[in-house]
Amino acid sequence: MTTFVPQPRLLRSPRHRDWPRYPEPALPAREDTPPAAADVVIVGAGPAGLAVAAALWHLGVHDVVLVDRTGPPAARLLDRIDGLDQRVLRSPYEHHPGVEGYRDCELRDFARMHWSLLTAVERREVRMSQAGHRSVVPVDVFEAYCRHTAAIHRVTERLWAADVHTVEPDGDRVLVLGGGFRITARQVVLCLGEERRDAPSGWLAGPRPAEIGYWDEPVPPGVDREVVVGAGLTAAHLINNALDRGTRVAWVLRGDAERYQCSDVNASFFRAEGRARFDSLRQPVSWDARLALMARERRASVMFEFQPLLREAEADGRLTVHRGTDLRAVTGGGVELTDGASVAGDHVVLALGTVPAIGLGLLSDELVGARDGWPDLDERTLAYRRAPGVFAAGAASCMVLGPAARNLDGHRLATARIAATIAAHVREGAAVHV
Amino acid sequence: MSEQYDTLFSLPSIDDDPDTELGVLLMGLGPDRLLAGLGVAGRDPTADPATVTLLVDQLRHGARAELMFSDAVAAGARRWQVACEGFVAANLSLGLRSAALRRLWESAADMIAAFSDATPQLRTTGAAERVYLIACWLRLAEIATIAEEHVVLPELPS
Repeated sequence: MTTFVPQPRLLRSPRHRDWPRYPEPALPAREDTPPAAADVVIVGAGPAGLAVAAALWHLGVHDVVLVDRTGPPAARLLDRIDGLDQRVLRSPYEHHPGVEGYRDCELRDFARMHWSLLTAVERREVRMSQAGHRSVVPVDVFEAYCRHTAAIHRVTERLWAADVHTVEPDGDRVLVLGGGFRITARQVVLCLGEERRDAPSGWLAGPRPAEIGYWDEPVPPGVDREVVVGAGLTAAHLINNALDRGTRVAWVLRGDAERYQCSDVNASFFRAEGRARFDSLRQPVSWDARLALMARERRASVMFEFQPLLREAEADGRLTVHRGTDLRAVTGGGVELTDGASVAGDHVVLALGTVPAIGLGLLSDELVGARDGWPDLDERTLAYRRAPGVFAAGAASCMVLGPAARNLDGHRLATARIAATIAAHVREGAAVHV
Repeated sequence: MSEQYDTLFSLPSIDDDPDTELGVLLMGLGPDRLLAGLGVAGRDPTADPATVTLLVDQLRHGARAELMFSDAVAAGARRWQVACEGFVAANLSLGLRSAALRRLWESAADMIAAFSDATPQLRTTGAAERVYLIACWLRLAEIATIAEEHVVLPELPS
């Protein structure tokens, strides 16, 4: 009988194994820059962009252009993951990047198809998922699945690597302007993901010295004692990597205690009853109530497979955990805590989480209508209320769909609303032009 | 009173042949996809079953200009017609079907393997064609419905 044991072995899936490259459809000849017009432009080809593109394809909306600053689908997410040497996703097999309802191959079946490539631990995780238990997904499986999903829904041939500078409504169209291109679109979907949260300005006395880095920057060689600031999964990976290198680590939690969880948000938010606590389509939910829920539910936590590793390291002195106190300052020599204590280290890594990109900098501030850091979205469609031709999927839709909106499963929910709305608009437009 | 039911359960093995895992998965797919897979597999003896399955997924989405999904289904129907002649020649039938899908798959695979030397119509060109032929046989009633739109099938042994 298979029993669920949250052991660190679940974290050690092989990465970059010799995964077969399937014959991909030939890419049609095309210009180096995106076309001048399209029914839909999707800005960002991460998991949310991929899900939107797949859903639109199934709804018959094929004149779609994707623009992504990094290039291949989900590339930035995978770069971040690999930068942390993260081998599995906390998101389970059920949360596959794609769409439901069209009999597309799902993530778990994709893994089963490649049974011979999976380790015994990975196969057991598939079985756990089949039995309705929580599972972790190897990054290799996720990456190959994203490639397949992109190929079958024409994402690969409709994706251009470029920076978008401006998104500007223009009558019944939306202009998408970037480096050397301009696209006139009927509708635009912003799938911008999340950006690194920077340190509060008061923490640093001046320019950031080389001894202070962020989680997405490499740690220089030769560090003897590393200070990691943050309470989430990223911090856990940084600590684990440092311990593996033989570095002693000081962990500044900025909270009372570590939070070990299977999922980064409460599982109820992946279900209708959890979403109903946010979604005013069902019953009115006040803004303040949503803010309070977000503050409570969108909190840093660590996959509990890390728990034995970190507890063992703390017990044997390789890891020192500073609980129950916040940070006052960060210097090249460590950090100062609000209780007056200093934590010394020759390198400090800040892992302070991420901030949803809500369209600021692309759309005008007025059109984003930001309130408490969240965009002003129409809850039925996830379009910006002040720019109805522009939609937001992913983390930016958290105040409508709840904290799970930033997860793979939430992307599908956002996608369903957005794609149905866009497809209806495109059909109406086609009818008008007949 | 003693416990009437065994409340323990175990998950399926993780050590079965990878083709069995894929086979069980294929048994849940639509018959048109199985026939298309049989057709695609016959075109490339070196293709592995997973590659063929993903290629069929590409064809379903119209992602390849050189081959349409309907053409792959038609090719699969022709191959199924030949296989059916082999099942008749060998007087081979599934017989009693196990409710355990993995055992069912293994049993069907063993039967085809045992008869393929003496029955040229059941000989396959590679792993993918073998897996898809087994899958089609296990779903033969539904496969026959689709295949008969393209070819004339003999009556199979019951």
